[in-house]
Amino acid sequence: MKDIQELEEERRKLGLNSKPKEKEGSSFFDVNEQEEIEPTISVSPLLKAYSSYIDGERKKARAELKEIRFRIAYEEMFLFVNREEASKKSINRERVSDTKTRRHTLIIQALHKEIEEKRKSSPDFDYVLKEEKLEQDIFNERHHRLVEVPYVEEAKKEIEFSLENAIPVFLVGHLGSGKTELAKEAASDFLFKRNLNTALSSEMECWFKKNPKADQEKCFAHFSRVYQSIYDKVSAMDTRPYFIAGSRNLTAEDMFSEKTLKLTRAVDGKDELEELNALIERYTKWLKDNKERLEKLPQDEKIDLMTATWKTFSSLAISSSSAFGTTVEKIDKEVLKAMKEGRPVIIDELNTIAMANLIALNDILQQKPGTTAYVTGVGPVTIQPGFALIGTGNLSTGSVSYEGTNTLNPAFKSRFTTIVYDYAPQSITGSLEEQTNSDGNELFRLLIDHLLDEEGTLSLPGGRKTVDKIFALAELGKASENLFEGKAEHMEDGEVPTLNESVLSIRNLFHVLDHYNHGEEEDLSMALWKGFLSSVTDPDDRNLLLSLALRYGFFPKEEGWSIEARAKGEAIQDYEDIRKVPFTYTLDKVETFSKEEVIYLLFGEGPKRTSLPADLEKKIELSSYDDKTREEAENLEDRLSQVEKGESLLSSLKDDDEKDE
Amino acid sequence: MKKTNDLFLLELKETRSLFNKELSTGSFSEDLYIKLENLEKEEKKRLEEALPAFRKKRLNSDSFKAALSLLVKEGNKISETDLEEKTKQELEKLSLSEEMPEPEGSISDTLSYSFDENKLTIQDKDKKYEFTFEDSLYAFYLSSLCGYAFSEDGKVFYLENDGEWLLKEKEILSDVFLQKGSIGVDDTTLLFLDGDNNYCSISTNRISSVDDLFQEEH
Repeated sequence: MKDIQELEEERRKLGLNSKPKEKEGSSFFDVNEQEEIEPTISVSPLLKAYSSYIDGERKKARAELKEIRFRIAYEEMFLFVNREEASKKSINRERVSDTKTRRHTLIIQALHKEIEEKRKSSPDFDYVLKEEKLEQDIFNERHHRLVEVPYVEEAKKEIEFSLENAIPVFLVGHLGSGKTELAKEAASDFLFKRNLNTALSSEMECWFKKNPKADQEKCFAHFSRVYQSIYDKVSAMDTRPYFIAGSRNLTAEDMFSEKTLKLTRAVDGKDELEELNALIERYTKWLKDNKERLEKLPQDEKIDLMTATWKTFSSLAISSSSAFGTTVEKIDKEVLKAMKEGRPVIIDELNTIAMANLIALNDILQQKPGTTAYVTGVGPVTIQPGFALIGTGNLSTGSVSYEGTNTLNPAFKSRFTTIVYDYAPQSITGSLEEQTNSDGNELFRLLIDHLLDEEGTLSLPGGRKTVDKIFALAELGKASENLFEGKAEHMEDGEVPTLNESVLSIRNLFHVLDHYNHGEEEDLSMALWKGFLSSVTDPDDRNLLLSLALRYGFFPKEEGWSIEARAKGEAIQDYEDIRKVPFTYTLDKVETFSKEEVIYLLFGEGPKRTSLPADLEKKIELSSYDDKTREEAENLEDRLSQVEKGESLLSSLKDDDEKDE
Repeated sequence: MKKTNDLFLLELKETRSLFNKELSTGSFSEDLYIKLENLEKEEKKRLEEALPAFRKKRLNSDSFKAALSLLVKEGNKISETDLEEKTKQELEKLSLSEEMPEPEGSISDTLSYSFDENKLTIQDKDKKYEFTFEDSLYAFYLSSLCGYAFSEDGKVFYLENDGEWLLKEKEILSDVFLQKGSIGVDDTTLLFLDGDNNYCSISTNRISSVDDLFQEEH
């Protein structure tokens, strides 16, 4: 007899879950495309029934998850409103918690716990959560946003928490870790959440005024109904933060208000129609004042005089309005604009700005939205809610120092929450199969995400072998990051190897993958060379990175590569040194991983399914019989269940009678 | 009644466990077949007896549905449509028939009706049923199984013979006005000519057999 695990394996192999690809439209460019015909595999009725059961369970889980998510959003809206109220009541505008905010926080925590509990106990709920993650990854990847691996998610949460509490954030990390991008997204998310909760709460308030008798359930039902349309509306709003690129030469003026001289017309700003009316008024007054004199003149002289006077008036007006003068104009710059409009502002590379100029930020850093801050060269400005400041900076350590960066004055730095944001976690030992903690390999997830298509399927030449190679690439990247940061776990002859200026950061790993091009023209070793190593100019760095790559299985001898271990100070290895025979490449057979396979590849297996509904269990039992017996059993089962159905119909009728009595 | 029901239930349970037991061996006994057959027979009888009760239960539930369909549009010939032959014949008959039904009439020796203003009376054997409507009626059609009453504000009401004559609380259709009509094709389908000279039909998903009942519950 088959067990559930066998059935599950069969189902995944068939990829029943992945949607069939839509046929391409008939375009000239499709004419040459030969459709690869997959051998048709006959699907047994049992497998079909099992698959449709799984689909049904997942559908249920999706609906359940959606409901919990709505509940969370509903509570978050309350929390937002309660926090705003509490902050207004507090003496210093610091956010305070009160019984209301605590209650909603507890509910939100309980809902998150509910999701976690369900995930642990139900394979379907677990799958649906993972599927949601993958779909979010694809969305982010397509919109050039950071993929929210736990490391990014945590950092974002930390930044948003500070911003919600109106505490400025100083985000530090090494090059290529994606600080600036993170700052931009966290700021945008912060503003988006504010906008969303503001829109949702005002919609609910409006609706409640019209339906004052509505109970909690009705309110929630209305919330669930309008949520998506409000969400879409708010998504269309611009939530991009203001952005300033820091540099040594950046002054307070560049941040707050720029003064420029401007040539202006004397009448500048006045309405032309207003001007004309004034002119006519003056002329009419003249006519009135000289009425008697005009009436005494003969008709043609009278007209001549009137015409001449009008001309004089109008040329006077022309000459007065064409005079020019110089005025001082103030143009609001990003920090001031952000304060006035209630938007976040990012000051990139904050620690490259001269300390003397940064001091000008002091008062702003200390004030909360709703209060007034003194802005150098402008005066007092009320900070609007939504304003937030994020600075980013490269992290200088003992081993790495970035040119042009200063150490921040401790008094200045103390006004910020400092968040260190480095490289995503990734194991650096063992193959993919040997990994026990799938959550810890975030760099690998980023690399696979980068190669997915829109449906979440992954087509790679060489299939699983290549997936392992990509895992090794993630390990290599992480190992190089460790060396760069001075966290050398690779000791060689007692010497601690370090990288001076190059690191295989996520940005560079993506370069390598883009070169790899799904294996169309070159393999991963060649892509690693072309997409990264060839541009490393420091000889020690390149030599070290090459031997590191060799250790992770790249540039193997049997494929015609010859990497030498070279000590510090030795000559750089060029392409001619590492490749003595011409490079040839043949594309391996392309294998496609279904969305479901990708999900389990990235996020690991979930809880095992231990039981099935009775009818499916029976089908499994039946599947072990020969056709004749099975047919007989199925027939008997159908008849018996028909009688049972009839019986339940009759008893439902009896129940109703009893109720009526 | 209760006792036989419990007995039936007991036998059903026994048969189920016998089947489950034999399923694991892969061969099925004659005893099982006999038991099952008896159960089927008995249940069919009981379900048939209960059909009126099922109809009654369903009459005012959401699953009761009425359908209005346009059969022949004004100006088109009945003979040129692709309707079933039987329907065509009935429509032809209808086109030649009287304008409107009389306010009283009889369907059989034992079944007759009369209506006056907003009151409708059905006489079935020795039993007399009286129904009152909010609005006046101008037409009524009756078969041995069901009746359709038309009110002057365009509502169509449905009555059903479920062992006794019952009126569905809510109207089944609104904005329906007719010139003439008749019950034809089958005992529950009303064919009629509307105010715009279109031939239409009204039918309901009345439970008429045990099969209908199972399909309904599916």
